[in-house]
Amino acid sequence: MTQGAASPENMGGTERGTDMLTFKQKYNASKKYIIEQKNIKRGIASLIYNYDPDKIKKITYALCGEAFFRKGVSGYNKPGSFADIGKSINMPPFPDLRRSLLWYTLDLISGSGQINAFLSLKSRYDHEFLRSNYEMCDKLLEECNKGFGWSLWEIENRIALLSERDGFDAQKKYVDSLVDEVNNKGINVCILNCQSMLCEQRANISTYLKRRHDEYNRLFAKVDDSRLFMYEYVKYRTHVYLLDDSGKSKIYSDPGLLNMFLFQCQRNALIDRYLIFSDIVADVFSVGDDKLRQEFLPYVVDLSGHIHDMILVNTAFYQKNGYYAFYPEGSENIRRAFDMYSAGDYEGCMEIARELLNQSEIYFPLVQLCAKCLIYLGKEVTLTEDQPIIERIIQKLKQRFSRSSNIDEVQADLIKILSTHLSSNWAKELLTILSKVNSHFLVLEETGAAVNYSAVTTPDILFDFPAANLDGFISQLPEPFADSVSIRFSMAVRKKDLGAIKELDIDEVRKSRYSALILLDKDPNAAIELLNSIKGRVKVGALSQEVDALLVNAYLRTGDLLSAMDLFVHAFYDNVNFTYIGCTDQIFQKIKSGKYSINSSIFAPLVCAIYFNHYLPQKDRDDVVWHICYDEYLEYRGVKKPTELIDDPPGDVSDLDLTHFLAEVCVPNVMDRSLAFDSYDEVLNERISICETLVKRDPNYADKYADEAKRLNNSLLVRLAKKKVENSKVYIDTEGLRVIIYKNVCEDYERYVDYEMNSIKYIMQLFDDNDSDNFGLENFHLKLFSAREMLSAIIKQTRDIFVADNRYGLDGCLSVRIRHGTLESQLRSCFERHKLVTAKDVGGQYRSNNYWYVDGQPRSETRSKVDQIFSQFSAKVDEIILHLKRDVIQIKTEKKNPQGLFDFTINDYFIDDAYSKSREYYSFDDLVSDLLQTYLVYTNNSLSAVRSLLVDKIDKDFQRILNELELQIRGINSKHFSVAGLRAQIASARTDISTELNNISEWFRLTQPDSFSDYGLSIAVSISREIMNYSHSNRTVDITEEIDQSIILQGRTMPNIVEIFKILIDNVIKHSGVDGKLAAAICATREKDKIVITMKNPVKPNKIDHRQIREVEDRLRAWENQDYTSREGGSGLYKIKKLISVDLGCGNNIKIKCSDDSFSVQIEVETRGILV
Amino acid sequence: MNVIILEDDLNKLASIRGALESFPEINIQSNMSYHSGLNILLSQKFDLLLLDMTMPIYDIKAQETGGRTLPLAGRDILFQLSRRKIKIKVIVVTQYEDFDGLSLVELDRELSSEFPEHYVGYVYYNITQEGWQEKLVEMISDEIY
Repeated sequence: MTQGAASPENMGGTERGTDMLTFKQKYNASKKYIIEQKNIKRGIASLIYNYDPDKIKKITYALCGEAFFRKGVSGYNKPGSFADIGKSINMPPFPDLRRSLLWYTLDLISGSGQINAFLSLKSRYDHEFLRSNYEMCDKLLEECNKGFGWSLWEIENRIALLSERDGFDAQKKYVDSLVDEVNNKGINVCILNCQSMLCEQRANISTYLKRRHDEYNRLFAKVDDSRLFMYEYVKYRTHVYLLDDSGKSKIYSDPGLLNMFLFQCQRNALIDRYLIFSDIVADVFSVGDDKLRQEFLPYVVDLSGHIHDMILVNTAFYQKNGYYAFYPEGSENIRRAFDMYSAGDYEGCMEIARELLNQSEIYFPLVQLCAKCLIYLGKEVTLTEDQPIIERIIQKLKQRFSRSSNIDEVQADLIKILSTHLSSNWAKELLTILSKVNSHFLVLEETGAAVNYSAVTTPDILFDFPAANLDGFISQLPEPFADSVSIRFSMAVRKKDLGAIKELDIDEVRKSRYSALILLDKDPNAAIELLNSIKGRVKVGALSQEVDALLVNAYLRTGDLLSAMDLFVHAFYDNVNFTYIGCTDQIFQKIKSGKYSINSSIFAPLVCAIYFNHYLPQKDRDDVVWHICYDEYLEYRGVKKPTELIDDPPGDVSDLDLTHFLAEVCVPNVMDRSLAFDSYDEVLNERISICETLVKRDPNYADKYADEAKRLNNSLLVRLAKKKVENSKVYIDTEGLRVIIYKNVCEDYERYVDYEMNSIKYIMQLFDDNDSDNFGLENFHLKLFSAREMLSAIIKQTRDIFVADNRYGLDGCLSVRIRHGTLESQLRSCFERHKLVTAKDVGGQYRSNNYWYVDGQPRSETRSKVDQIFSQFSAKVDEIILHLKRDVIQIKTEKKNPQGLFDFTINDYFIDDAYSKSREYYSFDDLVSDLLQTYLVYTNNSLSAVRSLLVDKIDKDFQRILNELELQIRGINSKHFSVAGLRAQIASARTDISTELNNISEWFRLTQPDSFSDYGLSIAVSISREIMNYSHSNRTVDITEEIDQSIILQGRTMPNIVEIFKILIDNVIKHSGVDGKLAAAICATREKDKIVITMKNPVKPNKIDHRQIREVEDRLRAWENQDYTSREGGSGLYKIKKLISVDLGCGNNIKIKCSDDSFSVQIEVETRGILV
Repeated sequence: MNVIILEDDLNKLASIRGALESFPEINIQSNMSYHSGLNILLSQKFDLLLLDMTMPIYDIKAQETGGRTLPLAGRDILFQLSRRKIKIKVIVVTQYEDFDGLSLVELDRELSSEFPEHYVGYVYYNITQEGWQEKLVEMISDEIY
């Protein structure tokens, strides 16, 4: 609020100020405030929040009459994206439901112009969708977006439209395009809603939604607060539809909850806001209690005078039963009626309507249509424009309704109103139609299909009506309803009077269907006969599905599981929604029981696939049944792998069924349990073969299968290469070392040889002279010792090159590939993923481990103790890792690293031995070969020692500190602290750390990098990403790639290239300073004889130390000074330089660019010798 | 008596083997995954299975990552034994108290009801707590004698 603006809050001099002001003054103050602030929403909110609602209601109602208010001072700008929605709503929630309702009412009234325009569009959309005029639907959705901006309504309908018209792939493409705008969870919710919308068109919505209960709950359990405004919308819908066992939703028995919910919904876009509110209204009047209805009533009445679509609902019956029903076969007939209506054939339309209504085919849009027809037909008598008349009717009825909720009185009024505006005949007919619906609804509506609100008199509803009340119910029905064919039919069904049903003059399909329903319990075989007799005659999809569902049910009752599965699967092929009506669970439970002999049926595994893929949204622990059915079927066929079925297809299985079996059943998560495969790689290879076959067998989905095969191939390649790269960490380039040794030591060796040879000549000469007096033993010893010393120096210098040379030395290899990052993060992640350790803060203290606390727990002695335990544990873990890095995985020499396991100490025995053998060497090369061989043996011995240490001592060390942790937490007794949960995580960490140490021990083997196949650069990126995201499972990096696919590199380069990307990703994780999700972009292009790799990532503003960056750049330029390579810590760029310059042997240039909030590294690598 | 232990945690496996030293008459074999475990159970005859509940699909080896981990691999094994009518008694030895929202007591009840022919009971393994060895020994003794 701007300083000094006249606001309702600061009007008046007393505490609340209201009593000091006259109504007119308050009115003017409010008006002034709204105009000055140019924000109606905020103005209304302030008014309502700070004043007595009753008084403010009068003021704001008065304001409603003002043009500025109606038009909207600032208007509702359509949101450009979801991020724009809800920004201006920043007031606190209203303290009670009444104020929320007032806010909503006024908010919607001020937006009524737009809402009505939207409703008109929505009505057209529903109409066109019903007619399958998808082209027009597209245009209308576009129009909606242009006119009103983003809305969930549009997204959901677009998903539904794409799903209906273009299939899953188109829907998926659209959904993918929205991911940035609405994150994954939001998208999932939209998809669920659109599925329920489609379901409304076809099947029983309540059944569908109940089935989806768990999935909704799962999604809502992880709602992201920042997107609350969207999810609340859907959350509300869940409350509405997914009623608990008592038939009541909690939200409609708790005004406080509803109030909070309404507040959250304010953050939606206008049209979504309206749809939410109208849904709530419908539900309050159907499932809410009397008190709540009375709360809502005046506001709803007010709204109905402004918004065409607002519905007044109040019937005892509907309130009592409180459920939705849907009449599936209505759609086909409605379509015909709409066609006639559109063609202006109102009489024709009415003809269909009368016929349908007489058969109980009451469908809410149809009633609306009839009303419209009658109005148009009556137009020449009394009406000039139907819209104003309807508005007047609504206004009058609204007034009437606000005085009494007695439906009979309202009906009486309605008759009067209609009589004054329509000719008496038309009025009577309209009333007759409305009366049929009136037993559930009093509907006053001009536009909108309003499918959600339809409730009809069907036998299904009457099934749940207590038999004792039947006569009373009939006696209450208004004429001519009580004696209609439809009610007699309904009564016959209710009484299960098959004879009466048979005699009624009503459609045979309908009669057989309900007769079968009645027979299901007692005589399922007779039901099967009846249903089969009408199965071929049913053309309408939804009805056909219902007949199939009844048949499946009947088969199950007769114990004919094979027929049930067969029919179920084929009905599913026709429509995936069949799972929600087709006794899916019952079939699955029978399969699971193992009591039926169904090994020979391909449908058993197919039912399981449908059950787990389409019916159960979450992974079920019974999915082993799926595998068993798969396994048993293959066993029955005498084959071990599915591809064998392709080679020799079974004669009694249709192509379609086999295709579905291959596509849906033979998936990796089913096949991997099979004993036919010895590894997961074999499973993936089998699936790839299956996909390749499916491309030809199922051409409609060829792209999907080809994509899957490509993805799996890639995954297989990455898996294999990753493992190989992981186990190719220690590599000794003996040829490179030989060159360095030759360059540095050869001259010394020649001196040594010369000296040694001369001393021998001298000795020989002494012996030859046989002059013992001049034997010169003392000198001889001196000379002998010097030669040995010279050799010793040569051996040690060679050893030093072997272990410490900046280019080819073993220590560089250990530093770059093992000690730098990966080892530590991989070990630590075993504890991080189980929330057992925390990182240090800038002050070097371990952060508090909040995971194990219930939110809001106050500081206490127990908590401090637990914090201390976790800090100590984190310190112990880091200590072991540090010991491993700093002391153990180090080169041990005479002077350095006494605990290092890479023992290269050279003792006197070694020198003596070498010296004694030195005469056998014919050349320097011989000596070097021998020494290199010896050092390689040393290396292998050291690697073996490290492997043993890791799987033995280090594992024990970790197990010991886990034991200590477990003992420490055992004594803690606090309701805020989950000891049981922590123990489970400790148990998991035990297994994980042992497994990880075993994995890591495999790094410590000497390898030859030339065993890799040539590969695309993107594979190397994928491998690096997999490794880094695994080892930093709590801080994964979302990497976008733009890589020239023509960059194919020689296989030998893979470990080094992967290492380079690992270092780059590691930099993002450790140095970007970003708090939220980490992201980076990798781009690689080919330019003449160079590859240019750029990695860019956001960094925390002001995080970059520009002075340090300049220092790094200087050192990279002066690369000859290579001492930085083996230095631990730093950015890793020196190590990248070393990897490219030395290990890959390529010219290169590394540039750094950074701004306040981004960092990028550009690496140019000469391609000579590395490209294929 | 031939006993097979299916356990992927080497430390736990060693502890269990240690606890079984009081039965010199039994022959012990062990496997470390769902796949290798099921394979041996189908090809050889055993009298008793000491079964871990959570295991990887395949043995973890130098060139094999083990595939996915099955949180209820033990239950799946029991399912297979029951379906294939393999006669063997099974004692679950687990270090977890919760399995995807199912408590150990609930799991015990479920396994008792679903696999009465095979399932004997469970031992809650915890290296820092005493008592699990005794319980295991007692249950095995009941099976032997």
